[in-house]
Formats: sequence, C-alpha cells, structure tokens
Amino acid sequence: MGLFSYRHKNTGTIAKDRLKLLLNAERINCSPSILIMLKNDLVKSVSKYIVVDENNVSVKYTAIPPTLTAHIPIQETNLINTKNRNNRKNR
Amino acid sequence: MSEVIVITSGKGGVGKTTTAANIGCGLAQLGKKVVLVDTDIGLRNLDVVMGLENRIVYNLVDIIEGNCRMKQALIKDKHYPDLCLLPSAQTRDKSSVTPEQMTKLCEDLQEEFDYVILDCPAGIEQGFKNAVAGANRALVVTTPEVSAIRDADRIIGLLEANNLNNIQLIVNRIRMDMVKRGDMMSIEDVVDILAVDLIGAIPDDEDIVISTNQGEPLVGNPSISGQAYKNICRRILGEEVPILDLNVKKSFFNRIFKGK
Repeated sequence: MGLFSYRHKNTGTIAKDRLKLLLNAERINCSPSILIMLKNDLVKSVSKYIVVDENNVSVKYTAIPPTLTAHIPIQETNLINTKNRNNRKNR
Repeated sequence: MSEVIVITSGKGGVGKTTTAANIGCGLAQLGKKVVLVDTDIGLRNLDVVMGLENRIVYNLVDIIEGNCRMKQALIKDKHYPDLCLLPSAQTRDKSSVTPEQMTKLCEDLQEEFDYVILDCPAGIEQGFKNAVAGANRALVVTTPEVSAIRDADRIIGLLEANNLNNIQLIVNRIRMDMVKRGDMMSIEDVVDILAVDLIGAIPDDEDIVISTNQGEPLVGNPSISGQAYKNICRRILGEEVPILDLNVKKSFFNRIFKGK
C-alpha cells in the first residue's frame, strides 16, 4: 500500500479528540453520544434562523462555575448582511 | 512557611513514587528540610525507590497508633541529612488511618520540615482521601495516554471538591520522537485537555529505570530527566525556570557515548 496511504490521521490527534469529547461528557455526567446529540440539536434549531458554520460548532463544559458553552460560528455571508444593515442605519 | 504537597494521579504506574522520591531529593539538594511520606498503606514502595528498605523499624501507622514517637519512625536519607522518609505499613490496610489523623500528622511534620511530600496511592478510595486531607498543594502526575489523562481529570475534579485548588501538572514519560511523528499527544495537548498549570515534563528515559534499580533518585545529575526533575523542584520554590527542551535527548554526543 506504500508509505502514504497507511494512515489517515495521526493517532495523537485521534487520542486528543476522543479524550476531549469523553471528558466533556464525564464532567457533566452524560455520555459522549448525548453530547453529540445535543450539539446536533443545537445546530438544527439555530439553523432555522441563521446559517451556521456546521463543521466548526463545539459544545464545551467548564467546571468553575459549572457552565455549558456552545460555540456556534455563523457563515460569513450572513455577517456581510448585518454589516450592510448597520451601515444603512447609520446613514 | 511549610508546605504539604501531595503527589497523586488516579491511575497506577504513571510514576508517582518516582516523582515523589526525585522531588524530595531535589528539594533537599536545594537546601530545604524535607520529609517524604509514603501514604500507600499495604503497598509501600517509596522505601525501595529511595534505597532505604533495610532501615525500616517503625512506620506511619505506628506513629498514629502511638506505638512510637514521630522521630523514631523517620529514616534519614543516605546522602542528604535534611531529607527523611516516613515509610508506610506493609501489613495493614488503608482503613487503619483516618483523614483526621493524617491531617494531624501533617501538621506535626510541618513543625519540623519545610516540605512534607505525600506519595499518594493509586485510586480514589480511602487511601486517596487520607493522602489529600492534610495537603495544601497537589502535583498531579500523568502520562500522555488516554487512560492516565482521563483518571487525572477525575482526580483534579476530586481535589477541587476537597477545596484543594493549588494544583499543578507533571507530564511524565513523554517521547518527543513520537510527538513529532504525531503518534503521541504533546505536552501542550495534555495541558489543554486538563486545563491546569504545568509545573514540568519528564521524558521517557531509561536512566530512570537504572536509577530506580539502584535505589538512588537521579534528580540533579546531568541526564535529561535529572535536569527536568531539578527544574520542577526550582519551580516548587517559586523560581521561574523555562521548560526544558526535551528534544536534546538523542543528541550527537549521547548517541556516541551510549552507542545508540
């Protein structure tokens, strides 16, 4: 198979990604699959109103104070619209 | 001001005892009065790592039960007169001691020593609860593996729940060659995941096995891990020491002298 096709991704990165998901889930006492479902549901609901950058959405848990933070980037095209609207208002 | 530092990890076999031994020796080298306390009742090991296994008469449980005075159970190190070991009992179990008794013991030791270093057993049960009860600072040891990091995260949560918030991380057994290849999490990855301050990283170094075989901690000697441990000791004292570049391990000279 040769040198190049033998691995898709560095195993170090795989370990890091697995751990991040697992620890986030354990910190709030729910399984990784539930956290994924929560993320997907969030994307679905927000998408009804705004076009979001689906691939870069993340849901994170921090312990002090206990907080669930969703990072939902919005697609660039939407941002330009808002800018135009603001400009119009200023005029 | 005297400090009680617990060395803990959750998972077994990540290098708590080796770390405790080296930090104890390192602080003694820097002129501090140090006592190393093995809190792993029933599975003591700090004595063999320190090479003091033949000198044990009394142990931690003997002090707590009043069978001897504190000074009688303390074993002076072979090289550093200001370093002592308090061995744990081998024929008892974790329930022989309560967290309150450990706290009292730590307070008594603080009067005699600048640093009380507690080597914590693996796990999160009684032994862990005893060890952390009297501590005011924690060093969490982990390796760049999923199992060790997961347990370290759990331990950090439990420490915080015990109001022990002075927590720092030691990443042990890092292999820079594997990190470079992308097949091991880097120090930065581990720190990022666990979100606690790093106090040092120790490379996976065969010199550690060699030093443990002889019962002589290697802190302070010219090997890369000896330097890394010494740097951790300096940081414990509050000095600003840059993180050692672990890449120098396989230097040209090393390869020639070790015939690799």
